[in-house]
Amino acid sequence: MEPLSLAFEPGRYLLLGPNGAGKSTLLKLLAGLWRPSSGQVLYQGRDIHELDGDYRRQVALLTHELGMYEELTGLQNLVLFGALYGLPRPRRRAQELLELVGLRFFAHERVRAYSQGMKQRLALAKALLHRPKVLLLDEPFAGLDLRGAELLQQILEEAVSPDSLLILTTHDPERGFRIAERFLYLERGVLRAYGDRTRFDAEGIRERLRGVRDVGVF
Amino acid sequence: MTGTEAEAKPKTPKAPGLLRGSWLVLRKDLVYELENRETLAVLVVFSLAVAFVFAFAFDLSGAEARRFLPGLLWMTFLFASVLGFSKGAALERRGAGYLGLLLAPIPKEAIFLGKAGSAFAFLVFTQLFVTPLFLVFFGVKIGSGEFGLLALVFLLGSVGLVAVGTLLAQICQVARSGDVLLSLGYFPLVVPVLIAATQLSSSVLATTSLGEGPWLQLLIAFDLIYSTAGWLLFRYLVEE
Repeated sequence: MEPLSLAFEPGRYLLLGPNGAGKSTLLKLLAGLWRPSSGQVLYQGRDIHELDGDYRRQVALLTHELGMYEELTGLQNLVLFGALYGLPRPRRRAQELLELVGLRFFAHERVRAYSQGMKQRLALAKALLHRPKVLLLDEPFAGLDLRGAELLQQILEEAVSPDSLLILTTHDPERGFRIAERFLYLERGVLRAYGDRTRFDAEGIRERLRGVRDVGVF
Repeated sequence: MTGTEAEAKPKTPKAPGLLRGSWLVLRKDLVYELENRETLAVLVVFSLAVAFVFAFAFDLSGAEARRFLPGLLWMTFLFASVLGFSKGAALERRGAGYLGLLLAPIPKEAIFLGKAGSAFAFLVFTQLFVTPLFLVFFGVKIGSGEFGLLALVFLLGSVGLVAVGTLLAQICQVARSGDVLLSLGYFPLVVPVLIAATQLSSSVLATTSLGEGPWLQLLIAFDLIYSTAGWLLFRYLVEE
C-alpha cells in the first residue's frame, strides 16, 4: 500500500479496485490482523494495536478464507468463537445465527461437508456473532448462488446498525451499491477516487474497472 | 438512557483473558481429538512400531538396556512430537482456523499458551504410553524413586520441545510453508534440550539421581529461554 490517509464515519462503504489494488490488504490492516509498516490505524482516536482485544471485540473480518475449523460442526465452531468473543450464552447466539443464515438443519454437520456457499454463510454468521461495530467483508458474494447473495444482502440490511461501519469489497459494483452508499476506488495501493454513487458514475469507475481488467486479461 | 433501553441494548461482552482464552484454545484441540482420535491414533501406531523395531533390533538387557533406553526414549518422543505438531498445524490450516483465532479478542499469547498446552498434553500422553512399553520390551524395572525423577525429567524436557515446536508451527502457518520449516528448524533447536534430557534420564536409570553435571541447570535454562522467546516472539510473528 502507498501512504494513505482515510477517516471513516459510520456507514456502508464499497471498496473497489482491480486485482492487486490493495483492497484485501487494507481490510486486514483495518481489522488489526496486520500491523502497518508505518503509520497508524485509529479507532475512536486510539491506535487499534494499543486497544488490542478491546478493538478486536468490535470488529469482524470476512475473507475468502473460512477462518473456522472444517473438522468441527457449524454449531461447534460458532459456540467456540462465541466463547472466544466472551458472549454470555454462546450456544444460544450460535443457534440464532444458524437460523438467520439458513443453516439450522446443518448445525451438527462437519463444516468440511458444507458446500462453498454454505461455508460462506457460516462465515457470515461468525462475523455477526458478536454484533461488531466494524464489519469488513472481502468479496462476500463470492461462492454464493443467487439466493445466497440475496440472503446476504437482506441480512446485512437488517443486521448492520446505523452506528456501525461496513466496508465491503466486490468486483460487482452494482450489487455492492445495493448495500453501500459510498465507495472508495484503489489502484496499486493508491486511493484514486471516493464519494457517492453520483461520483462513481461521474468518475467513470465502472469503465476504469473494466479497462484495468481488460489490460489484466490481454 | 432509560432502564428499558439499557436492558434492550445487548451488553458489550467482556473478552476472555489470558487463562480463559488459553483454555478455550486448548479445549478446542482436545474436543476435536476426543471426537476424532486422529493424532492419538498416529502417535500410538508410531510408538508401537518404534518400540517393536528397537526391541528386536537391539537385543539388550540388564545394565546395557538401562544405558541405551534413555536415548531411544527421547528419540521416540522427538519424532512423536513432530507428528503431533504437524497434525496440530494441519487442523489449524484446514479452513484457516488460526485466522479466526488471530481475529478473536483474546490476548495473542493465549493462542501460544493454548496451542502449547495441547501439544504438551499429546506429548505427555505419548510418554505415558511409550515408556511402559519400552520398559517391558527391554526388561527394565524401575522403583518409585526412579519413576519420580524420570517424570520430572520428562516434564522439563517436554517443556523445551513444546515451546520450540509451538513457535515454529505458528511460523509455518504465517509463512504458509507447510511442515518443511517445522522439521528443518525444530531438530537443530531442540538438540540442547534432547542432550540434557537424555543425560539426566541416563543418570536416573544408572544412579537413581539427577547426577552432578550441569544437565539439570542446562535443561531448565533452555526451557526458560525457549518459553520466553516463544512467548515474546509469538505476537510479533503473527502481527508483522
